[in-house]
Amino acid sequence: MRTTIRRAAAAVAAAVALGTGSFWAASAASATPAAPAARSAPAARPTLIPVCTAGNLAVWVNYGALSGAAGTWYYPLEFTNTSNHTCRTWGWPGVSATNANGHQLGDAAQRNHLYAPHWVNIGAGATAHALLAYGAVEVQTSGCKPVNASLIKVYAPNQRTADDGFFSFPVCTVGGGHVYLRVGVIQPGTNI
Amino acid sequence: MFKSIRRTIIATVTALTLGLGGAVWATSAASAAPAKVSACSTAQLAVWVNLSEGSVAAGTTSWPLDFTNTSSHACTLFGYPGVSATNANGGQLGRAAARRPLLAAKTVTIGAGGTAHAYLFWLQVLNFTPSACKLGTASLLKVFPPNTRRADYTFFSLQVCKSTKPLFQYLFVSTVQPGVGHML
Repeated sequence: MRTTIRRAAAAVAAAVALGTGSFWAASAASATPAAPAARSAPAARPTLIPVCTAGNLAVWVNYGALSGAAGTWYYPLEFTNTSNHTCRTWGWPGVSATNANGHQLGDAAQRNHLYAPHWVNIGAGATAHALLAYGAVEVQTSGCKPVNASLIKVYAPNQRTADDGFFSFPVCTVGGGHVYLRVGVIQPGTNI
Repeated sequence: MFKSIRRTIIATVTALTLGLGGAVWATSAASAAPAKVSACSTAQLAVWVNLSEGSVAAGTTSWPLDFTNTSSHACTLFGYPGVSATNANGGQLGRAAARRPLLAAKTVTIGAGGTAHAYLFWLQVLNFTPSACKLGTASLLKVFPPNTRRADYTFFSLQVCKSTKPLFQYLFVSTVQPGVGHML
């Protein structure tokens, strides 16, 4: 009995992990009987999946995936599940830039409401993302005394421990009305 | 015919991706026909340093240098990446990373959305005489994935030696290995 439950949980976790990327959702649907994953998928019960902890995740700014215009640059802020099980997360991360000693520089990121929050499953070894907007013009022209940051400090949704990634852009040191970072909700997949 | 080949490819790629995920899927992967997976191009990959999995030993810090496949199909890597630290404009600072033959090279398949890793080793440059090392601060890490001619960049804000003398070899890198990197 116990084994059965464990097996079912593992199958559900794996099936849901597949659901995190639209590419894989589509291929699972069109798969022939050669792919057993397609048949176990309907048994999915998301409630079995634990919430992603700071320890499950690594956080990084996808520097190469720049998009944007008019003084605001957009990057995927990536959340890679480095644990050996699927986890799920919901909503906005807490984000700020810091110096090498971890001291916050200027204002923390504001929330961007372009997308509604929803539960996102991140399979073991897979990656989800949030939209990170960097206000280059705000930093350069608002008189907010910019310095180069060293790190981006990221609290995954509902976590009290932060994960750090490298982040070397100029940022504001004057807080209170010089918002130069905005962040959206976590969404499936690596790309914006 | 075309459709059936497409299906086979999709099923095969799916199976390969599942194979990276965990032992649960090992049996389904075994039923897949062998596929010809092409080498990863720079454009398919995002490179990053995993600060959460760093460790320090004898003045050297190591982190996983991760390669995430941001494309929609699997690809392979084999061997050492080419790594150097740069300023914000991409100008190289000091010596490029030397190879550290810690782990044997092998062909690593990275499924769509999956990650492989090498290790990056950084010597605490403050242990050198600052004037001889020509101390500076990097902004970026420039990474040529194995067997590519175009580099990816990622943030890298650490102190470096700008001197190119052999004594000031402050970066080392290992071969690419399967899966997300963990602490050494």
